[in-house]
Amino acid sequence: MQRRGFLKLFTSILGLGALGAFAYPLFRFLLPVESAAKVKSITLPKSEIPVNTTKDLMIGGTPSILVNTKEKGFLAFSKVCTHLGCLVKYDQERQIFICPCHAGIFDLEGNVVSGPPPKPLQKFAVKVEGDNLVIG
Amino acid sequence: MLLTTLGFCLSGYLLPWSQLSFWATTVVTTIPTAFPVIGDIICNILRGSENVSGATLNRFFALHVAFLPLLLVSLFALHVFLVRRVGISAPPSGSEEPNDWREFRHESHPDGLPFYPYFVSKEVLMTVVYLIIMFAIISFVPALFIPADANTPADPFNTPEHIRPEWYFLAPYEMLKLIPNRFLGIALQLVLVMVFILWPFIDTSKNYNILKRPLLLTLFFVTIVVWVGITIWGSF
Repeated sequence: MQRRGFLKLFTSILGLGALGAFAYPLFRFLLPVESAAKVKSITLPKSEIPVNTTKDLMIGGTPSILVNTKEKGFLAFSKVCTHLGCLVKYDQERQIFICPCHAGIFDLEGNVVSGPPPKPLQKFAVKVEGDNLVIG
Repeated sequence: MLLTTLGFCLSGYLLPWSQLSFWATTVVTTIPTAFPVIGDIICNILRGSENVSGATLNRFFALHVAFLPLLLVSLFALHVFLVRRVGISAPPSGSEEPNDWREFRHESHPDGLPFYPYFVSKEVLMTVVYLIIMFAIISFVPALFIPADANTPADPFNTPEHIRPEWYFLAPYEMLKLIPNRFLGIALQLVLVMVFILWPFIDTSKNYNILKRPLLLTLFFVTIVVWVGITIWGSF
């Protein structure tokens, strides 16, 4: 091999190595971190949520809300608005969920009533087992 | 450069880790999810995790102090290069002849002024004036432009009531509220930004004088009025 060719090859390899040494940590930095193990379901005593009250919970890493209404009983939803990720608030009087960011409104079934959200709130199953509730 | 500056506003906004900054970042990083397939991947890369967290703060800090300054300086260098290479656009009331694509040469423009020191000194003067004003505000009235909510520490379990972005993002915010379809609301804004960026390439008219182009002039004023109107609307 000619000296010129060897130097070209050698500097190319060195250059690629330097690029790799820069790119790899950058790639590692940009790689999203794994989230911790999530609690998939929660058990609560029924007495903790009297009629017409709510309780904030974390289900599967998602901020959620448990509502106890006179008419529909226990209902659990993700509080994450399906529009752009803000957390909805429950309006006890009107029995609706309102997103404070872009005014999306959801009914007690989680369906979109008005505003820009593209789909209903995520709903969690609620099972009554004796004096306890199993959510999620 | 304008968009990069807005990028600075956005990435720096999260750094105080307040309620406003946390939820503004949540909204902004959720925007890509309106697009199928790649949306969730982009969202995860932006956040560094499933939700806005310490990892997001980490990468927004890196963006704010490492990537964006480099990008802005590069764009500034390109801007100065193009000013030298192409020349500055004539004001609408000025010459109707477009500038030739040529480098400034003092020999061929004996009445011209060289960039250094004349224009550099003007730039330096404006920079110093800006720094004086900025440091005066920081030293004597630090809360002048800081809303009260900006001092509330971030709470990932509670979105504050009546949350609104800063004034310069009020128009996009209100558009997201007004357009009932999430994808359309976001896509429309992206298209507007692309038109804004690519306008010099889209507008192929020989006539550079906007005052002699009634349609373009009307479009310009309508855009400004609509933008200001939506911004005011968004503030209520």
